[in-house]
Amino acid sequence: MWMRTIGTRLRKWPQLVAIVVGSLLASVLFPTLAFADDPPWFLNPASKQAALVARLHNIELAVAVIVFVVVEGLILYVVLRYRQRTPDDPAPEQIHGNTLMELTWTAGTSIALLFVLVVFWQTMTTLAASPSDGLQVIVRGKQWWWEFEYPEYGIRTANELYIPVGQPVEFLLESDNVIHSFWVPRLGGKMDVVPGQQNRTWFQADEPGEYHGQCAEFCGVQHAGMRFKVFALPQEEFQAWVEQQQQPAVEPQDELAKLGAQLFLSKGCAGCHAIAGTAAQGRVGPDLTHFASRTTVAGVIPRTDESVARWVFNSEAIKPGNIMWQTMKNVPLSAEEVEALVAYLQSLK
Amino acid sequence: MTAQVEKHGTTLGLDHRKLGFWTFLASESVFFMTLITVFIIYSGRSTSGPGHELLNIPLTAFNTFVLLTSSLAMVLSVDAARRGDQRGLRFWLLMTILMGAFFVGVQVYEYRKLMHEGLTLTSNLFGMTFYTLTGFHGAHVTVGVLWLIATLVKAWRGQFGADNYIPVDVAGLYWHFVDLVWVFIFPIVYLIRW
Amino acid sequence: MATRTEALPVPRVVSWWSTLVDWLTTVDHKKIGILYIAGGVLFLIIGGIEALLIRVQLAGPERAFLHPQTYNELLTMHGTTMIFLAAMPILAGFGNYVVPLMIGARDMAFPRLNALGVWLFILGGLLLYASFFSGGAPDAGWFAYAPLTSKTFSPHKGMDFWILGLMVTGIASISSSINFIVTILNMRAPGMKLNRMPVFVWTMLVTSFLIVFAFPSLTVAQILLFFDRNFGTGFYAAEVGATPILWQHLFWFFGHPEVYIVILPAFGMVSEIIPVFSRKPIFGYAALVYATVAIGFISFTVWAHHMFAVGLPPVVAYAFGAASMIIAVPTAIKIFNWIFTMWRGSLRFTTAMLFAVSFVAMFVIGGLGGIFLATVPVDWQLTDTYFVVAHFHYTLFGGVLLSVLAAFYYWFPKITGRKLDERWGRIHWLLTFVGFNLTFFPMHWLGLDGMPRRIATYGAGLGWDFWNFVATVGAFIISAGMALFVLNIMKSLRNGEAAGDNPWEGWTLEWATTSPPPAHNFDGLPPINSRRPLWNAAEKRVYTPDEVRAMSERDEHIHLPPASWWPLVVAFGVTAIAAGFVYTPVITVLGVLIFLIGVAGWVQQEGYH
Ligand code: HEA
Ligand code: HEA
Ligand code: HEC
Ligand code: CUA
Ligand SMILES: [Cu+2]
Repeated sequence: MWMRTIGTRLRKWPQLVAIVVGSLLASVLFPTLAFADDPPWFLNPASKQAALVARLHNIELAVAVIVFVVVEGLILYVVLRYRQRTPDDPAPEQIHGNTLMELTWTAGTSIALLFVLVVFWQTMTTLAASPSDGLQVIVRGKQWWWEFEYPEYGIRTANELYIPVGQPVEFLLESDNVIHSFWVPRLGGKMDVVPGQQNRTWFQADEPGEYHGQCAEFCGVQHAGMRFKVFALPQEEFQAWVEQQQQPAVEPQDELAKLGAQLFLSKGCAGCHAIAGTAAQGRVGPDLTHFASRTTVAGVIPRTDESVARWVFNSEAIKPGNIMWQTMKNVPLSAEEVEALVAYLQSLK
Repeated sequence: MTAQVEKHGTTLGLDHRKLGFWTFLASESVFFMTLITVFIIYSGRSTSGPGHELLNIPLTAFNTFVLLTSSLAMVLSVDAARRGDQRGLRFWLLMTILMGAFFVGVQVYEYRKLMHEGLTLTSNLFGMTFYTLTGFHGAHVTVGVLWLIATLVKAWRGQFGADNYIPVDVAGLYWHFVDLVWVFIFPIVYLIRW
Repeated sequence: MATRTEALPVPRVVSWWSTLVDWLTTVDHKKIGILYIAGGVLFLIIGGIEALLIRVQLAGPERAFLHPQTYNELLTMHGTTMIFLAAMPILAGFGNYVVPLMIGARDMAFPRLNALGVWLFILGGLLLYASFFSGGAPDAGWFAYAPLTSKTFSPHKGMDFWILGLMVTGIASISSSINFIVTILNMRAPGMKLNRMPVFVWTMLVTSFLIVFAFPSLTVAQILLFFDRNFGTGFYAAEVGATPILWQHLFWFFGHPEVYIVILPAFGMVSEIIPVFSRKPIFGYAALVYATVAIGFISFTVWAHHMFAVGLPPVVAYAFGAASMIIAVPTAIKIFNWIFTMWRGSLRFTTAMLFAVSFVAMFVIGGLGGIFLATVPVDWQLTDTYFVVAHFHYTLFGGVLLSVLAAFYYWFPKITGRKLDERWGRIHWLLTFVGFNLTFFPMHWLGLDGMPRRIATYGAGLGWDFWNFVATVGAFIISAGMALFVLNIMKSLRNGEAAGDNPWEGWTLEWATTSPPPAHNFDGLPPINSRRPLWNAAEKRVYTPDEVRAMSERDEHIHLPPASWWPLVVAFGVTAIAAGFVYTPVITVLGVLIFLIGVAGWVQQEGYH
């Protein structure tokens, strides 16, 4: 019964197709884009590399949509057209096959694939050319944060990557723990960060802006929390940032911050964190020399006094399973101590 | 239509057990091919420590010779079984077992000597891949020896005859397979200096 | 003709104990098939519940319903369970039940090996699940990349359970494959030539070869990992000059064929169902068979398409991508052959047919997703995102599970003598179809929008919230369908409509016998002169059961092997040997003893050739 109703409806198929396609498009894009501040939608590329890939994707999408419409259309047609009308319909003609038809769809599929393979090859070769004049950044995947080192400038930062616009940047990927994957959807595809081998990738941001990045290889408890941000800045701003980062840490000014600086050394923070110009030289956790110039804490929450306090007091509540907590759970901190540490950390511009 | 259930009539005319065992050996080949591939991939990558120079090639060459000879003995025992020659079957089975046991014995001796000289499973990549590959082969030979011993016991009880020699044949297939694998392992592990 | 009630089994009064013994010692391929299916469905439900927990956690951003560690364990167990303990066993179960019937055999070639397989599967699955009660379930994802699986990064025993549990089930898979190969090649009834075998039999044959050649690679990978974790080696440790990438090659050399191991039998099942409900022979039989074999071969040449982002040389990556795409050609042949089987047919939309047709429609979507992933640069964007999750649920759920459900409705009458309720079935289908698409289609967009897979939570404002919520709703709709399905089974077992020998007017040999078939399968077989032995070509209809009986020559010498405890004993031994490696060596020693006793008893048992 209901099959037949659908059948009659389907006679008006052109309208139906238009409605379906239209509502599909709207329904994808609207909820995705409307509720998002800045979706990392890679089909909205911000670099030449990502644009090439988006183009390849769109060409494939066109092929796929054609295949989809043909095949699903055929299925729908056959299903509606040849359904049994009454239980005692005579048996249909017994067709066993048809070589010409077999050849047709074999050839058809092959041609479509060949087309895809050609575009695929072109994109591959274009992307393979790597720049010679790039800025180099060493990217270290840690459990569960990112370290970015600029060997040219002697800078080390965490979870926030600054790059100049319009200049290729080459990334040297290193890990001394598990495999991670470096990924900034709008700027370029993934490249795994594999212990024992140095992978390289590069991209060139074409538009200034802030981009979402995230570890894309399952790396343990806090894989989900291994996020980072990329800030693409115009050349001068980038240079200014570099100069600012090259300074040693600012001296704490007020009493509270001074107390914080002491606590930082006495509570064991310095065993894991480095602050340039102080006795803190740990390399287990992020370099905090310019912590207060970051926008986030541990890559996952916005940096406010309150959130820094939460992190220092109980990082487990923010990133369950994180490495810092494995030591700090044994080092109870009073509210005053936390306040002092926060004051110090927040002064590290 | 009675033919379909005739007890021993099979579609291909091959005994089920032989066909099945061939399939099993195909799977085993992939197992060893994988181990050998791992050995080759990692050969020459050990950064330090004892390595290939410790291997006693003449001794292993002799051991290889013994193992290959044992295959001949196995052929003869299967042949004896097929002809219903009980004494021949027992004798050649015994010879195969002795040679197989000798092979394993030499391998144990070799392992002990190597370990004494500092090459262990964990010393370096050479140690890991060497012991894993030859160890799994040795384990297969050991299983083969045990299997042949069980076969010998049955042979002693006269359970095999010209009309019932397939179990000996299948044990033989396994034995030849294990030998054949060694024919690949020996040059790759011992003769080639990666 | 479909209402011959006397064909229904007359329930004999038997004590529960003798029933239990009967099942524990059975060597009958039909009972073993049922055990496989029942065990697989149980694990499907467990894996489904794990998925539901995952979906609840992901329903909105920054939720703390599950601890990330728990999330990772559930995720790993969901994937592992669905692939190894649900999909493979259910398919093996249908294979076990149907293949010997389809080729007119009395049983499988090695009945006791067959029983061993099912017990190893069940015990291996239990061993894997014992991890939840022994300090933590595996947590490194179903493909368990090194070095996350090393002792350093996964110190609890979960990974050891994973290794050993899967090894035990792996033995089961290999032994049952050997059994299928020998059975199919060597036990066909007279007249059942290779080119007359039902397509399902062909796909089981090819799948069995894939298992035989692919599993050893997994076994080696796992052995090396076990050594690394427990004996201090470093096969995957960069510190000693090794590389963790080795694991990926070994795993995917198995893992890629594995996905075809589960899809080929599914292809086979719909190739049986669609023709029957179209009342036409399968279109392009030879092409379908060649395509199956081709897919089998090519599947061994594409494994590195799971590794495009590890830094392969571009030409190598391109070659693997191109090889992957080539599989689209044989697959397309299949898709079009199914469509043209229905073309100019007389389609009966039973529940089985609804599932089979939706399988074709949904699998195409999954396959097209695969083409995007095989395009290396696009994969650099899409790998490890929800696009991949969408792809493989469209192939695994939209492919394997939908065709398994079709098979349930199709063969349930043969297995039990009663039909599943068709009205409930139709609702089940509708819920499944709608729920499935709601759950998994939006995942394509999530992937395009940069949502990585295997994340226990995500930040708000990235455009992921809405579609994740939709996916969660969809998952519950699927579950409602599944619950209805389970109820349908229970209800229909008790008072379903009597099926008769051949309720769907099928033409393969399983319909030539009673429902359920007797222990010896057939009293006698009709002549096999074509691919459709029960088809009356002159009158364009299937022979009625009475006609079939009249055509069949009764067979007087029936020899059935006796029941045996030994497979169960050996399976216990093997599992105990494995369990000892995670618990205490004493268990291993005991296991060896049990194993040896089992083998000795096995060899001595009379009644087998
Ligand atoms: C049943 C299971 C199944 C099947 C059948 C397939 C089929 C295919 N898969 Fe899929 N795949 C998986 C299960 C499956 N896959 C799983 C489980 C994973 C993830 C594992 C993990 O990471 O956890 C995966 C991951 C995966 C990847 C890696 C993604 C990544 O992690 O980055 C790739 C990349 O190439 C890929 C490709 C393909 C291709 C090309 C096919 C092809 O065989 C598809 C061919 C079919 C069609 C194309 C449709 C029909 C054809 C036509 C209608 C003709 C016209 C078509 C054209 C002209 C294009 N798959
Ligand atoms: C055959 C394979 C298969 C099947 C059927 C499914 C089914 C489902 N999968 Fe699965 N999935 C995988 C194979 C499969 N999956 C694999 C291999 C992975 C990768 C794992 C990894 O990354 O390591 C994965 C990963 C995966 C993820 C990604 C997680 C992540 O990356 O973080 C998600 C997320 O939504 C998901 C969801 C689901 C859902 C909602 C279902 C639903 O279809 C489930 C529906 C529910 C049921 C089938 C059972 C319902 C039953 C009941 C409710 C009980 C009723 C009982 C009675 C009345 C008695 N799956
Ligand atoms: C055991 C080593 C360890 C100790 C001790 C330690 N940390 Fe950390 N810290 C880490 C690690 C590792 C991270 C990164 C965590 C993550 O993102 O998963 C981190 C992150 C941080 C961050 C966020 C950094 C950023 O760039 O966003 C701050 C702030 C911080 N720690 C402050 C402290 C303070 C203050 C103390 C002492 C009271 C301390 N840490 C002690 C290891 C440590
Ligand atoms: Cu690092 Cu995921
Ligand atoms: Cu694959």
